[in-house]
Amino acid sequence: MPPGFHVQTKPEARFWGLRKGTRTEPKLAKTDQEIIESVLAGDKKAFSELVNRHKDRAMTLAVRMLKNREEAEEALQDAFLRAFNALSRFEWRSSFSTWFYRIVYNVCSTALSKKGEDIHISISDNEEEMKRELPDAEPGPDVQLESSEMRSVVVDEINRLPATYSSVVTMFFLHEMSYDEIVSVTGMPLGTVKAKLFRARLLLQKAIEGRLQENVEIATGKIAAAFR
Amino acid sequence: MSKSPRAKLPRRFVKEMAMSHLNYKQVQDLADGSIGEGTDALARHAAACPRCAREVAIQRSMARAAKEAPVVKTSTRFTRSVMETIDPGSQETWIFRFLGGTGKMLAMVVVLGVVGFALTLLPGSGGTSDQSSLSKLFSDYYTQMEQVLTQETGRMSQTMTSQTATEESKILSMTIFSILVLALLDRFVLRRFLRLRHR
Repeated sequence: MPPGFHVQTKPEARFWGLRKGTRTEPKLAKTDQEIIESVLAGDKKAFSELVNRHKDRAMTLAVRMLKNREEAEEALQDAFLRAFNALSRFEWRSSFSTWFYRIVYNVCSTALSKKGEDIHISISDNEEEMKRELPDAEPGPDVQLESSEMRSVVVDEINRLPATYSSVVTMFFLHEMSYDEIVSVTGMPLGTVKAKLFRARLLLQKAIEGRLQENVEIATGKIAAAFR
Repeated sequence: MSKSPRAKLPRRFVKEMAMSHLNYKQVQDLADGSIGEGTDALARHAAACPRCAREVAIQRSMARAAKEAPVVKTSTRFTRSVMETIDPGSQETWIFRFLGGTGKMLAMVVVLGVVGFALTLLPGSGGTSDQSSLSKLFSDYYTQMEQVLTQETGRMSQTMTSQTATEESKILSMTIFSILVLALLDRFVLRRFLRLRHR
């Protein structure tokens, strides 16, 4: 049969001009490794896919550390450039995201130290605090723990935490990193990471309960004023 | 011999009764699911003690809210600005490249031409009477052209009316002839050729 001469037996094949037996496979998203291999092979444009994949989560970490959106975006851009330049030295001892978050963490820490804030303050393992029993105090007002207000309060209070605590909270909850991964990103010992996370959660809980109590008091005051 | 009325309780119940509340670390571990629920004494205590149950519930709710918190998005130009630093000049689309070179020149020429022509049409815009006579010349020329075209069109339409029937019949006969020729070609030439190729 001459080339270009198709025996089209099925109406749909005739209509679409497909050869018999042709199938279109769905395109699967590339893995980080495949993208990095493309970039190292010379395709710089492939790096944009990596940027788009990781930028939002990394931005969240940077904003929670630096407390300023513009500075966080600047730091993130710097982190991506450093990651691009260091791609050839990346040895896949961890996932790309863990490696990249380490770069982001270091860039943000440097920015904070320039502003006079030391993120690497060491805290004791505070075993006594951890083992202290809950007091017998009366529980607070019955707050709606699943409300959207609770969610916005939690996010707000995480943003108010010092960078040393907000960073580990973000990595533990939002990025769902394990203790070992957080150790790898921050460079802190495991005991320090656990202690900081414990302290951060305690501070967070106290701040949230305080905020919710405040809201209840304000609401109660308004109701009382309305009845006068 | 009868048993002592004060029978000893199992040790685990004694331990649970002695515990007043969980400590902060235990509350967080329970909330994370680090301690197995339903089988461990701590989990049973948390289920029975309202104070501890509330603390565990608050920690769980806080963890859930932190996990479900929306991510902070970068600006829309972020990726482009990163890629411009990494690979300068590669981010321009074809249209920007076109505008960057030849397109700009052409646009300038067109704009200058239009502006220049507009300036020649303005009366007393610093021009002499020659400019206004130029525009008059153009308008007279176009008026005359329009008249000539109207006359010619009228003449041609008269001619065409008489020739229309002849032309139509010619076209129809040519079409029928072409179809016949193609059908005969397909039946006697093309298919024989294909049969020969198949052998």
